[in-house]
This record gives sequence, C-alpha cells and structure tokens, in this order.
Amino acid sequence: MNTLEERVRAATRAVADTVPRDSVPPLLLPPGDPARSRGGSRSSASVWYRRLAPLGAALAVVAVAIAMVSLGQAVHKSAAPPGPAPTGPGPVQAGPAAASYAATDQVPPYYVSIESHGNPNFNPSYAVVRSTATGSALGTIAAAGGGTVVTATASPDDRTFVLDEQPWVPPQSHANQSFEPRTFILFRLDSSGQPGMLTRLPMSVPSGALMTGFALSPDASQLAIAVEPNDVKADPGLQQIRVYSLTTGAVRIWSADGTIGFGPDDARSLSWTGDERTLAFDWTGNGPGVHVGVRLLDLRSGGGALLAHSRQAVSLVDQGPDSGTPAPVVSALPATAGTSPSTSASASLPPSASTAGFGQSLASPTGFGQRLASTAGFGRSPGASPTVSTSVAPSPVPGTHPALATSLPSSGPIASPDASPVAHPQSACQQDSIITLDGTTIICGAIAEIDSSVGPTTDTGVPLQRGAVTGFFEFSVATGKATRILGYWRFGRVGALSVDVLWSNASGSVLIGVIPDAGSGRVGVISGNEFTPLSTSPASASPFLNTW
Amino acid sequence: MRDVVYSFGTLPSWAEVYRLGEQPRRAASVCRYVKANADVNREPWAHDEGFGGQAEARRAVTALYEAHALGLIRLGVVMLGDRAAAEDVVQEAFCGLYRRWHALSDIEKAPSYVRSSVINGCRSALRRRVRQPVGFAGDRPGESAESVALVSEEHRQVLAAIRRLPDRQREALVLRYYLDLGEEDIARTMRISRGTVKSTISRALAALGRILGEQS
Repeated sequence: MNTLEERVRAATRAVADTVPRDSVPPLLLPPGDPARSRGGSRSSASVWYRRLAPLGAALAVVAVAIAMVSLGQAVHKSAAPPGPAPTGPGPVQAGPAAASYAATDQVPPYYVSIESHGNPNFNPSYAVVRSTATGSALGTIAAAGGGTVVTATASPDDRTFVLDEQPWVPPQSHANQSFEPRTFILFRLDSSGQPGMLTRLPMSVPSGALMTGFALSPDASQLAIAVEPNDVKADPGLQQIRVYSLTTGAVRIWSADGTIGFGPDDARSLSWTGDERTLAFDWTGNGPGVHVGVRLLDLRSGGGALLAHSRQAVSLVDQGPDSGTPAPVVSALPATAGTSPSTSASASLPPSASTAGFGQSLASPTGFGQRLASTAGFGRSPGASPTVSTSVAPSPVPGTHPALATSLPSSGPIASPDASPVAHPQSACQQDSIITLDGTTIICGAIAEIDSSVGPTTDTGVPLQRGAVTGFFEFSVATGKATRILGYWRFGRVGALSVDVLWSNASGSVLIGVIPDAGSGRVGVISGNEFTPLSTSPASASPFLNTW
Repeated sequence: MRDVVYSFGTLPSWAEVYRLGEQPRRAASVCRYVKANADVNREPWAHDEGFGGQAEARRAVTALYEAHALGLIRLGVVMLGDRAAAEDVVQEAFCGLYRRWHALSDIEKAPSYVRSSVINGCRSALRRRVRQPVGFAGDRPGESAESVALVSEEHRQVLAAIRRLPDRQREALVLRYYLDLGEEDIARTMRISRGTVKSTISRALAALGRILGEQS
C-alpha cells in the first residue's frame, strides 16, 4: 500500500466521520402511492423534501458499519511476467548539456511553464515562456480578470501556444475548479521567444463540463479538446472529442461512452500526427469488456461515433491471468535500452522467446501518418536523433549529474522483480501516451514501485519514499507491440511515483519527460538511457505542467 | 416493525432488512394480503406486480433507509464535502427507490440500486454547483464538512484533489478506498467491467498524485 492510497483512505474517512451516528434525518417519502410518484422530477422532490424536513429532527437508526461490503481484493495484483525477463534496469546516466540539445535543434528552444505564487491548489496560476537551454523567463501571461491559467498546448513549430483559462475558484468555495467554464488564448512567439499579441479564440467549454484533453494541431489551424458534457442526467458516461477550426470556428464532434485522459486538464491525452489525419487519445471505455488503451481517430470523417471512427492501436490494461483477457500483448522486449528492435532483439532474446512484434517495419503503418512530419517545422526531422546508449548492462557513470544524486539507485537486487514495468508495460503505462508526428509510434512513461520499505515513514508507519523502476515504452502503431524502451532506470529512493512523456521528436528517439526524484519529479531530456535535467522554475505548479 | 438492533460490523442482508416489514415477497402472497386488507385494496392496480402495496413499500423502504442512511450520507459527504447536499442526495435516492418499488424485480438488487443512485446524485450535485460566497460562518446550513475544523489541512487537500478528478475516477476511488468495495462490486455499481475498474482506479491514483504533487 503506498502513501497516496493511505492518504485517500484517511481523508475520506476523516470527512465521513464528521457525520455523527445519531444525526441522520428521517426519511420523508412523498404522500400517496409510489407508483403515482413515478416520473416526479428531482427538483420537485427536492423542494418537497426541503419544505417538510424539520430542522434538527433526528431518528434513531440501526447501527451499521460504514462499509457496506466486505473488503475486496486488492486492485493491483502481481502476476507472473509474460515473457523472458530482460536485463535489469540500470542507473540514470548523465546526458549532454541541455544547451547542446537546444543548439543542435534536437529539442525545441522554448517551453511554457504553468506557475503560481505558492501552493497551486490554493492560488491562481499563470503562464511563463522559458528557454529550454537555460530556463530563463522570456515572458509572463496572466489570466484576464483574476482568472487562472490551467494548462497549455503547443504546435510542433514551437512558436504557437494555446492556454486554457478559467475563472479562479477560491479554495474556501464549494465550487469545483475543474467544472468552471474555459476559454482559450492563442499567442505566438517571435524570433527571440517573446510572446506576441494574445488572441482569445471563439470556442469555449461551458460551466459544468469537464475537459480532459487539449491539443493544438501541428499547423496551429485546429484545436482538439476532449470533453465530458454537462448532461449527467441524460447520458452520464458521454465523452466527446471536439475538433475546432481556428479560422472558421466550425466544429466536428465524435462521441462515445467512456473517458478520455487521466484527469482534468490533461493536455497530452490527445496528440496529433503531423499530417493531421489522426488524433491519438487515451481511452477507457464503459460497459462490459475491457476497453482501455490508445485509440486513433480518423479525422477525415466529419464527426459521429467515436469508436466507429477510431481503432485501438495499443491495449493498456493488465494482461494478468485474472483480467479475463487473452495472452499478453508484449511477449518480449529488447534487453538493450535505446537500441532499435532490429538490432537488439535477435541478439538479446533467448531462443525460446517469442519475437512477435520485433523486426517489424516502423515505417509502414496502415492508413495512418503517411506524410512524415519533417515539413512540420522545428526539430521534427527523423534524422535528428542523437547517439543512443547501446550498453547491454548499464553501469554507473562517474560524471552523473549532481542533481540526480539523491535519486540514484541503491545497490542490491530489485526487491520485487515482478513490479518492473517491463513485466507489464501496458498496465504500467499509467500516464499519457502520445503519438509521434510521423504516426508510427506511441510512447508512454511507465513506473513501478519496487520497495516501499525504505526511507522515512509517517507517524502511522506509511512510507514516504520508496524505490522505483521507470521505462519510456514505445509501441508500434502498426502492431500494437512494444518495440523499444528508453529510460529504463532503477531508483533507490523516490518521493512521488512521477513519470510522463511531455514531448517527443518525430521518431521517438529523443524525449522530454518527467522522472522521479526525491520530490514530485524532475523534467529532462531522455535519449537512450541518458538523462539531461532541464531547468524548470521553482514556482512551477507541477513538473507535468511544462509544455513543449 | 420488529425492534432489531445490529451491533457495529454486523450488517443485515437486504432480504433480512426487507423482512423487518414482515411483508410477503411473492406476488401471489401480495394478492392474498390485499384481499385481507380492505383499506389497501382501494388501490388494486398498485398490486399487479412487484412487492406489494403502498404501506408495504413505505415500510420496506423506510427500513432500508434506517439501516443504511448513515453510511450513504457519509458516502455523500465524502463525494460532496457538504452535509446538507449529501442528505438531499440520499433522500432523493430513497424517494427514487420508493417510486420504483413496484417495478423492482429482485429485492436483492435494492442495495446496488440505491447506492448507484447516490453516486449518480452526487455526480449531478457536483455539476449543479454554482460558486458560493466565501468567508461564511461555521453554523450556516450547507457548511462544508471539511471546514468545521474536524478535518486536517492534509485531508482537505486530498479531498479537494479527489473532487477534481473526472467523475468515474472519483467514484471508483471512493468506492475502493472509502467503502472498501472489491472490484466486482465497484464494477456492478458503476456498470463497467472489472478490467476497467482496475484501470480507472490506477489512472485516478496517477491523476491524484499529479494534482497533489504528492506533497507528503
């Protein structure tokens, strides 16, 4: 049990206990026959109840426990690895300086950071344009009228950004910030990285709707958003993808029953291919069956049924024996981080290992991403990949960046090898999955806790730190199989289980992502097994809220 | 009604609770009951199906309420952070059960029905909310349950983060870690598959970690 789960238990039970046992009001059923009460509206029933309910009335109730059903089985179960165990994860290796990545156009030169004065849960946020190489601030954009900037999305030219703004809800209010209305602000950076004129876009998200995805198209002509509309009575599970034209305001809408993304304001739950024909989205379907994964929406349709116009590219669900699903998708992985499948798989896998998914061409997906993104602008050339590590057994590098010293792995074996994300990359991919601009690859960050018995604990014995294994998995769009792993690292001491991919070059060989450290996570460039920390602001609301 | 007292941790089955009203469960028995009770027989159409007449429905629903209202109100408070709103949602849920009593084909379905109603009611209530003025005194009706100094700042942060999650993630998290429901029960309550329950909870924890920044 990790800290977060215990915090949820403790907080929910604490607030539940504010309701004393002897304070339950009486049930006041409507007069007359129940059958004749059918169809009565909620609002009229509510008025009726309020009219009749005597203040302070109490009724002796049968004492029952708050738990109505006995403890169920644990959610996370460890299952046997589906394939041969690859060489274990290694320590983080220091990469070249951030400035060298920026100078060689391997990463975009600018990014937008969402920042706040103080705790972002209790203070409104604003956007700051910063230099990737140095972290220096180039411009600040605050929300109009005392509002808050929630998140940002960028086009691949690294010059055009859209911000998502909301009215700020003070923490003392009953209102839920996530359901506040949203407006969108577009701005472009000039050649020196200074933000230009702000343009308020014509579309918005109304109060009561929840936005869980947000992505600007590569040519900055369209904005895709994922929305749960505010129609919980008529269709409580409805999820929409809306794609707006920024020039005409026209909108196309696809709908289905389920959930997109990993939470509110999740900018990277949607991602575009460079040809703008495909939008990838993180999907959790409702209803019977297992429908969790990354789907690809064919944007050549004019709207309609989301599932009918999309296909599942990668299944992201526990493939263990209790899940009721067939054989695991990933049967084996290359043991060498950062190498291409065609060069590593045959050498590293034992003869008995399945090689399904390896040696597949990454350049011939069917019907998706045919036009490569090399025309899309900065830093997207597939030829721009840096040298990657090819060492089979990564070893500590003496020159490891000092900033990573606190998160370097401890010596000794992994406490729980089955917890490695390599064993179950699909189920370990619990953050955003993005598609590369060339449309061939889907990338997700995966993390697994490996030892919760280390480090300090709270007063109640809950561990505050633990070990972790990370991996940035790349899946073939054509086959759905894992083809490569970057950042396959072991950490001896981490705070939050933070991992995410924030940006990828066109081919997926260079990433910007979040890895765990002693706190809430660190942002940097990931190439093979090398990591180069990037300078982010101490005022950053979250390491995940940095947008390239 | 019999006077039955349950000790903490001893939960009556729903069938047992229903029998507290000492009412017949089969349609045939209902008909005999109706014939023997002229005052109820004034509304014979009410006994064509389901579990009986008006008085029986009132007794049975009230018995269910008495047994489970506390837990459900607490569930509502967890979801909404607002005692009065939680009581409203639970009242609405039992009114709904009462309205549908005749159509209930299986008494054993009552618990999941009413629990699902509370979950859905909380979802609607969260979305209906309009911003309220801040800085009010502590004795105002509708007072946030978290603002009565019984809940620590740490808990308030976690609860605020939970309420920012998408509906299904929030609901799955509360069902799992507050009610301690197993996957099968969560799947039944939310009408999703077990695999989706797992994934939804896992995603909810990931999102929660993000929102909180895990500021332990």
